Amino acid sequence: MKSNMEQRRELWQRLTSKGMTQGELSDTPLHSSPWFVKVLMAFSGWLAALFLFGFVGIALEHILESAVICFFTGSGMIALAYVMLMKMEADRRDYRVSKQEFLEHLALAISLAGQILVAIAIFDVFDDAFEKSTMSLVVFGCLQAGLSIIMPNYLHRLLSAMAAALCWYFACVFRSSGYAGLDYLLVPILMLGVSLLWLNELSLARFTRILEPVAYGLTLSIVYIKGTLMFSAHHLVWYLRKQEDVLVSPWVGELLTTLVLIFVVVRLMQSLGFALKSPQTLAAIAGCGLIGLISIESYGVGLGVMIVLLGFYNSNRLLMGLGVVSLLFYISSYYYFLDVTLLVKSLTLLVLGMVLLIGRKMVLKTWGPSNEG
Amino acid sequence: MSTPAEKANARRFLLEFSENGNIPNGQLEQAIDQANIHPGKTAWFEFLDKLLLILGSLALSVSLLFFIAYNWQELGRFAKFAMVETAILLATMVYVTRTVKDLAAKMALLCAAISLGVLMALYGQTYQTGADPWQLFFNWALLITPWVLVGRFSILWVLWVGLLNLSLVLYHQTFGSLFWSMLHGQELLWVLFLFNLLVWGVWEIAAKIFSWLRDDWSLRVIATATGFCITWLAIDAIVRPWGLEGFWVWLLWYVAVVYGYQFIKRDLFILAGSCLSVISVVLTFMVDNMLDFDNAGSFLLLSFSVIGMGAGAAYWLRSLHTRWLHEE
Repeated sequence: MKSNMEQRRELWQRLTSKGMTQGELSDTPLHSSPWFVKVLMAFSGWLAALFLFGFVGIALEHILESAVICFFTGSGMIALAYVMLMKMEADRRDYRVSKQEFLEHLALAISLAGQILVAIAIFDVFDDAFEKSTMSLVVFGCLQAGLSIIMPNYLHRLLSAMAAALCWYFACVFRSSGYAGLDYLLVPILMLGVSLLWLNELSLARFTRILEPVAYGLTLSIVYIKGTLMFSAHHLVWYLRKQEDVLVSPWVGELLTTLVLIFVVVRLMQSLGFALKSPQTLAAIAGCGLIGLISIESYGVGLGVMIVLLGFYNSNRLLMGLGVVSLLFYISSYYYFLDVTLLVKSLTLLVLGMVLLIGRKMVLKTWGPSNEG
Repeated sequence: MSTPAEKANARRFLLEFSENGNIPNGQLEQAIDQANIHPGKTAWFEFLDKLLLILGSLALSVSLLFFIAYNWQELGRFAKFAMVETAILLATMVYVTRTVKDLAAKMALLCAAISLGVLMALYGQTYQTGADPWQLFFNWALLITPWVLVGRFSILWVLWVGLLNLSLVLYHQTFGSLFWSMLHGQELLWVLFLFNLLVWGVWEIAAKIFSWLRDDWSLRVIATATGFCITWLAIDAIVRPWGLEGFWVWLLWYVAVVYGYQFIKRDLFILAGSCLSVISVVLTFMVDNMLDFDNAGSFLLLSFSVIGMGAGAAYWLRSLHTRWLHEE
């Protein structure tokens, strides 16, 4: 089997022979760490930020007493982190291998601690009580969305994109004028955004330093939100006792989720050369419809399937793994979903299993290598 | 035809070339086609075949589990037994009758193994045997052992190891207090650590002989469980005044892991886990000895220490990653 570097050189030569490249191939690949190294960095960055925030809170106690000072100190820290990260990004491009891990971690910790200060200021300005937190969450979410684009650091972008989606989700849940089920609307909107990002990842490869971490951040946030919806949404409604205001029911959310899944599947079928009205595409749409119907009961199945398909389409094994893990999580945690009896759950899964196995038979029959034309 | 790993690499390299500005704007679409990143019809067919089979089989097994857990009174006990036993029989027959033991055969065996546990739970539910919960999982693991041995399927082994772990935890819940004074209430963590360490070691050796055991992720799950137990024991040794056995064993484990997975078998995931373990242990020591809520400097020191340790770990792991990429 060829080594990674051989594969890299081979691809370069193949593209060069067709006149598709410009410039020279660098000796060393652009710096990229495996995902678990990024997780380790995120963990230590967050921990350091908490201690740094503790330091600011104790040493500069008076800062926390004024929202204005809090805001400007926090913004200053974020700006400082931006300058540090910008310098490192320029170095990374020049020297290829970054040797400034300490500064990168420090910048991340400074920015995260600064964000905590800004969050305190925002919540202080907009809120007098728990119920009025919606606006703060929306504003802080917008700030995070901005940071996910601006900050020149992979991990920062990922965390900010995730934080933005989660802020908007909690803004929907803790809506000032009562719970309206808007979170059920937010999930398919985020799913659509995520699917567009992954489907066009390679066409937008020039912006991959921005779009890839944002796509991962949003994907992780939807996986989390879907899990939260499964466990808490109905209890939350009960807790807030404002069921009469609910505008969007869970089934509407699942219907929209299914439409996004169908959109993704149609795009994938088109990429394989199948027309919209071809029997194969129509069968795939019907399969998605059935999965969507089951997802009304067993939350998250449609989302998990979508992530797995997008991961396979992009040859992105990490994304596929995330999809498989989320699918296993959703199916197994269905046991704890209290709204329906185990008998109904059992029947739902029976139908799901039958649909999937019959679907496999159909795929084998109509799309097997012998039938490929 | 490219393998999935080669396609994944092609994606990574194309993104890198494009980000570097090596691919002119107008050529990107053709370059994507040339790089052969997106799977073709045959690859999709093979993928859907596996995906639908795995998900469908799991859904049916879990469906059976939920059905028995519901304990539907309208259905007599013989009907329930017949249902579960038929499922086991069918799954086993699928495995036996398939001449080539492909993924479908292995999934059938996995379904049979899961259904056997359901049968045992149903037996306990119907006849109120009075057995302790640990016995259910232990006997389940014991009874599926022959299937696990013949199955040549790493997921079956993970299920088997998981069941034994679970029975150890439940056994401790029943009889744990008997050993309380010996190991300061940490006996469960010690037992789980030693058991998983044994499994880990045996798996590594066996994987040299049996190619179907060379599945990185199963091993990483077991390594993570082992690392979690010993890290917790080391942390416990630091914060409690009962002796430092946990810490010394952790140190030994750490040295062995770093040496083994750097020089004998390369695995960056396990090395990253060991870094996380070191950060957790050192930080616990520092928090225990230095953190003072009246002293802002202690917070700053801790913050810089975490940054230093995280940065050091990231630098080391990245250097190894880059070096291995060149050497592979």
